[in-house]
Amino acid sequence: MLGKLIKHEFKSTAHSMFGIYLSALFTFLAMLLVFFIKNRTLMITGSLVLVGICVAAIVVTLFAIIGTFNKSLYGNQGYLSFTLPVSGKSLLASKTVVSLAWIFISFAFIIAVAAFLLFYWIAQTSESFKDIVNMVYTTLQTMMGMPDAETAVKSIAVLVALLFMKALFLIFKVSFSLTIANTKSFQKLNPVLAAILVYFAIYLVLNAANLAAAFIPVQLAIATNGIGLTVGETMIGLAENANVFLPLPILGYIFEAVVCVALYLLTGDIMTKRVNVK
Amino acid sequence: MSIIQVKNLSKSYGANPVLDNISFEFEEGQIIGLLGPNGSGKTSLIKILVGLINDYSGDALIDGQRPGPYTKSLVAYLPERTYLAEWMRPTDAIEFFADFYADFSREKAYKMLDAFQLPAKQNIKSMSKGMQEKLQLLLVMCRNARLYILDEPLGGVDPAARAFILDTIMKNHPAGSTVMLSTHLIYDVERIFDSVIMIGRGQVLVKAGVEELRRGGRTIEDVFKEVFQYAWQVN
Repeated sequence: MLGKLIKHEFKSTAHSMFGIYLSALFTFLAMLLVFFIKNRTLMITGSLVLVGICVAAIVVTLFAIIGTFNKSLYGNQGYLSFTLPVSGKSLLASKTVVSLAWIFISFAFIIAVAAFLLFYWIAQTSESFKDIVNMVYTTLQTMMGMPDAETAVKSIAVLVALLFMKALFLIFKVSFSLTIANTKSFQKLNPVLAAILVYFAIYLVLNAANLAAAFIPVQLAIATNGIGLTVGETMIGLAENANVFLPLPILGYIFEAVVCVALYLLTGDIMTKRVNVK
Repeated sequence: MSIIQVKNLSKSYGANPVLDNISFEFEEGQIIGLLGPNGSGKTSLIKILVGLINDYSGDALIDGQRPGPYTKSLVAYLPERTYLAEWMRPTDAIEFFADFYADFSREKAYKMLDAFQLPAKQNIKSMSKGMQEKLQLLLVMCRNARLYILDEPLGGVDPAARAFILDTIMKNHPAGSTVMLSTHLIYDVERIFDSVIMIGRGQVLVKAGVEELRRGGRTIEDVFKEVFQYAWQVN
């Protein structure tokens, strides 16, 4: 049933996202056309429109996630969703998977737009693409100390995993807030206001916890020649001369991962035991 | 075993009790009228049975189980409002039901879509309320369910539409299934009931077979008027 829920959730959310990606496609095509006309004003305008669409993609994705969750569970459509022969946790899981997918699609879209604009403008200059990439890489290496190729791949994997967790964390905070806002205790309040209040309450509590965790000096360290841990001044799994260019608060992330699991279980439980569809 | 079993069920909204320690049960294979004036708790009772209200005390059991995925697979529920997403077209709604309900007949649904003269590709958002109600009735009645729970299917429609809705229900519910239909418009429907349950002021005021109620030449509507006139007087 989870697969079917995901399929229909995709169909449902795609309607909100369709306009954004269609307008991006038209802008891409228009910019390619302008490229051959060599009209600089239109090229700049097109680039700015694409950047604007990137911002809109993020905003629309967030609103689509929040709107679809609220409408399809706690609005009129909840009469259908909650009478399907599936558990509350399956409903939540399907919405989480699809929301996560849309967040990653919007990130991939932004990376694609950035790459497109880079190629687009490089193609206007006399420099070769390879020369420009080398120049950028060398500059960054001088400024920050870029990692070797193997460490770069590992670092990207770590950053993608962290991004994944952050996205998941955001989805669970939103779904938990919307669910709590629809329980009996909050029914007298406006559900949107109640959801915002709950969200900020969670935000404050978690930030306080993260702040407390920051006093414990354990960090995941991405260095130029490897990834390891630092505990105070001590490095674990790294060479003595390692140049740490990206320290990450690993305890904060572990704490967030635990909270993610707790929010998922709590939301699923509250959805099936405490929420009344109005 | 009873298909519907309600034991010491209570539900209140704030300080107002809408169902106050009620108990009843129904055997399978009947058409049950759930009767009561507006605000008597019919919809609350139905929402508890289908799993939309969860903060109640007591038990509401379908085929011996509390509302959950199993009971939801047995129950075909028609709410009093439009519950389909606005972007859907009838074909999307049919595919949705076919995906989730093993007892849903896609073939029957497409036939009924034609018979109801509903455009298969029109967005639900652009349909009239009457068309939306027809589509929802079609979706519910294309299931081969054990229990149909229909909440005020006749409310707010003209007499011709009422006859059409009743006809659709009577022709399409499978033999041996149970239909629970809530209404406060008794005159049009009383001929179809096998049993009725009247609720008001949080209590079950009458639960009986229609033959028993009709003794002495009375109609269900007569009994309803008598019961609720009394209920209002004593409260």
